[in-house]
Amino acid sequence: MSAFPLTDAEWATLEAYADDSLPAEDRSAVEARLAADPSFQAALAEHQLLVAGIRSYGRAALRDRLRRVAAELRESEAAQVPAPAPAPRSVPVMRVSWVRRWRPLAAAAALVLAGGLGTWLLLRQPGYQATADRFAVADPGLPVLMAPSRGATQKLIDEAMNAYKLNDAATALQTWNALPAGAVGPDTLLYYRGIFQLRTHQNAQAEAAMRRLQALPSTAFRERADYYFAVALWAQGRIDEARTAFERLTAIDGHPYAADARRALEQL
Amino acid sequence: MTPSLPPADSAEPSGEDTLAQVRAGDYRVLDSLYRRYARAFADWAAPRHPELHSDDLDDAFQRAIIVFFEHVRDARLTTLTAKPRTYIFGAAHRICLDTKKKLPSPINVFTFSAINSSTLPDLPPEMAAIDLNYADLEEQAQEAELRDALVSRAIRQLSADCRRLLTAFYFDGQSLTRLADEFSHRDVSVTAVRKSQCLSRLRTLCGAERR
Repeated sequence: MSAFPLTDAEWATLEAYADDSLPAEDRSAVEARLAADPSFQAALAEHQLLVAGIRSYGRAALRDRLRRVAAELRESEAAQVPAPAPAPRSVPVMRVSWVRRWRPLAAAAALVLAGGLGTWLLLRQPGYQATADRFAVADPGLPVLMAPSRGATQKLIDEAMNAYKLNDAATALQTWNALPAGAVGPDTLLYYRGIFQLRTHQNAQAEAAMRRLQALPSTAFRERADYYFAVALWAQGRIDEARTAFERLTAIDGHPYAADARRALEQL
Repeated sequence: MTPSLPPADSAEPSGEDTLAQVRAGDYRVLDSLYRRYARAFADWAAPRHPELHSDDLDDAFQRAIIVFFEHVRDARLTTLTAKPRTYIFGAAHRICLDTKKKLPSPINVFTFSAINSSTLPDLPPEMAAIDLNYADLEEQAQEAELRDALVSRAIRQLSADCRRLLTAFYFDGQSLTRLADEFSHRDVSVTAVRKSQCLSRLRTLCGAERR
């Protein structure tokens, strides 16, 4: 319920005023009341904030829609099999009709031999995501303190971490993305965004976040970023790159994720 | 040498058709623009923004499509003097420049202080002449994110009809007359009352979220 004791009719008038759809005489009456009544002014401000929130929601929904289109496009591009190379030897004239008849089969066979189809099938296997999920060693998240008077920003951080710990990474990501600038350090922001993206299978974005962390000159998240970067590659089916990333990590003396990386390598 | 834009898709709808579809709140035109030109933009932008990951380029292109949509919806863009993609490429290019400014060092090896919206040396003339102001829109959006997260949670608890009615009116900019038709309401006054009821429900849900 709103903090303002307006009747439904008063709200409807205020909304119509804000929508610029009131007749001139009614508009004048509203303006007169706004000038004289601070609570009416505050109600208008509340309505405007609500409208801003609806627009923001619409913007986010449109963004989600474009992300889905992008994912569909990537999938359809990945599913396109490259055309086979032309046969290296000339075909005797008398056998041309036979070749035409069997050309589709011959092309497919050539493709299999070339390994193209094999690679394609491999990349299409849904198992990578599931396997990578198993190896995405759960990050414990930030501690949530039970202090009585927490600021709005800290509440958001807590909300994101609580959602994450309840396996609701989508809510965690959305809440995390709503943090105001400077709420946490840039590396913390990037790291947990990447973790939540990984959990929601936004693997390319998670990879980008971890890659950026790795590029930072100094961050406490560096070693963890190394590991999750490799996991993000794995989840995308980019096996060779994932293997290289895990191997690089195991070569670092005392890397806390070396044992996890070795176990992952056994599965690759 | 002035870099040229990739060739337009011959099947690209005209600017007028695109504007009409956007004004009607038909998101399919945005899907179509993305499908047609996302790859072309990535190819065009990659050598111009080598510091950015392909995901950043894609992110910029998606954001630019939304900026284009919002400019048309708000009647800041009423006629097009170039193909829609030119506007979107221009906005996406600027978003890429801004993204680079925010990159942490050592990735950010360039000095961006010299770059502003009027100094864009790497643009073909038809794009340089266009300036979709995305900074204001996005800055406002960022400032409001905290507050809007609460409203978004409340909106998700509304009925599907209420969600559609409120977003179509307040985000897509659809008229009550058009929405009365969509919802098969007897007349516009029914739609206005229904909108008011949905707002009332949303206020209640927001109040509950705050607590």
